[in-house]
Amino acid sequence: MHSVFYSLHEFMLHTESLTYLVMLISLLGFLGFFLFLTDRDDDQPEDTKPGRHGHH
Amino acid sequence: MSTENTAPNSSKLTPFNLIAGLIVIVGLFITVLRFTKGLGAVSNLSNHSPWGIWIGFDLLVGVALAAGGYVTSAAVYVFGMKRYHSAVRPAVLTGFLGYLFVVIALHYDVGRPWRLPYPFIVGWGTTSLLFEVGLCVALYLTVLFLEFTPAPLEWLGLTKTRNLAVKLTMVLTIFGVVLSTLHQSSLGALFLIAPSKLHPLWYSPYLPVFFFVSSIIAGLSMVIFEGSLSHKAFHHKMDATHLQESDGLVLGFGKAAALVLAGYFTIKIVGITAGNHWHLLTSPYGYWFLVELLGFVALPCLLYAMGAREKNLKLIRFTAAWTVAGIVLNRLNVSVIAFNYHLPVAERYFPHWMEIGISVFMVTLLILVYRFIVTRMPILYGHPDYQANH
Repeated sequence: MHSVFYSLHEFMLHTESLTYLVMLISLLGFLGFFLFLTDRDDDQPEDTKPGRHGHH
Repeated sequence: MSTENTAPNSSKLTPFNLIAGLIVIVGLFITVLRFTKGLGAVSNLSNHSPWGIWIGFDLLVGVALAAGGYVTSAAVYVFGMKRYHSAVRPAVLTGFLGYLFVVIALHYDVGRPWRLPYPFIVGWGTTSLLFEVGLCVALYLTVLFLEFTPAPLEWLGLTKTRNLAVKLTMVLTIFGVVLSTLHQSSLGALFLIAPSKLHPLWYSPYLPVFFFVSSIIAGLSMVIFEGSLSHKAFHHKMDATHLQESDGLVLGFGKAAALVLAGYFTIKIVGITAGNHWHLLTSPYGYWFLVELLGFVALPCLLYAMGAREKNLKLIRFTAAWTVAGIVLNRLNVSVIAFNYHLPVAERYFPHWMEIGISVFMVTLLILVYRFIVTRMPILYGHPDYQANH
C-alpha cells in the first residue's frame, strides 16, 4: 500500500486526511477505553476510595 | 512506624552485598581505565556512533525513569492529590539520585569531562538543544536536591533550615515541572537533527512530544515499581501512613498510566500516519517496531486498565515493571538499535563489555546510595518530631 506521490501537496493531502480519520477513530476509542477503565469506580471498596482523606 | 533500623538480618555478607561489592570493584577498575587510557580503551564508540549506551541507557533511560519526582510532586502539590503524599519523598529521592547518576555517567561519556561547565561559564550556546538540555538538567538536579533536603535536615535535627526548605516546596515543584517539560522533550528533539540516520518508524517530527509523554508513563510506572521493591526490601522502615496509602497509590497511578499510555499509543499511530510509514511495518525493523508498540505500549495499557478495574494490585505492579522495560527498550531503539540502521552490520555499534560494566556500576551505586539513605533518613516514614507538618 505504498502510494506514489508526485507533489508535496498530494502527500500532505493523503497523510493529513488519514490523520484526521485516525484522530476520529482514536477519540471514539478513547471514550470507550475511558468508560472501560472507570465503569467500576463506584464499586470500589471503602479503603481504596480516592476521597477517603477528606474530599467528601 | 519505625524510626530506627529494625532490619531482622544484621549480617553484612548477604548475596546482594557480595554481588554489589564485586560490581563496584569491576566498575572502579573500568573507571581507572577510562580516565587514564581514554574512551577508546573501554568503549566501541566511533565517529559513526559517538553516542552509545552511556547516552542511550545511562542518560536517556535514566532521565525518563527519574521522572517519578516531578510526576508525583505535581500530582500532590499542584493537583492537590494529598492522598499520595507519602510517595513524594521516595519519588523525589529516586529522581534526585537518578539525575545525579546521569550527570556522573555523563563524565564517562564526554571526551573532556572537566569542560562540562563550559557552556555555562565560557559560551552560552543558546541556539543549541544540547545546551538547553544541559542547563535544564543542571537546574533540575539543583531543584531535586532542594526538594530532597527536608529529609536529611530532619535526620540531622536542623529544624530551622528544614522549615525554610519545606516553605520552598510549592515553588520548587512548579520549577521542577517546567524544567522537566523542557528537557524531557528536548532529549527527543536532539534526534530531530538526524532524520537520515534514525529509522523512519522511530523518527518523527513529534519526537519531543513522544519523549515527554512517555516520560510521564515512565514516572508513574517507576513510582509503582520502586514502591513495590521498597515494600519488599524496606517494609520494616515504613510507617502506618505509608503502608495505608500504598494500595491507593498503586491503583491511582496505575489508572493514570493506563490513560497516558492510551494517549501515547494514539500519538504514535498519528506519527506513523503523518509520515506515511505504514508500508514499513512489514519490514524486519517494522516487526521490531510492532514489538515495542504492541508489546510495550498497547499491552501494558490494557493490563493497567484491567488491573485498575479489578483492583488487582499484583497485575498493576507487574505491568509497572513491564512498562519500565518498555521505556528502556524505546530509548535504546531511538538512540542505538534503530540509529544508523542503514550501515552494514560490521560497522554497526555494539557496546563493549566495559560500557555495559559502567552502566551496571552506575545502577548498582544508585541502589546502594538509595539503600544508605532510606535506612537512615525519614523517607519511608514521617519523622516523629515533624508529624504535624506532614
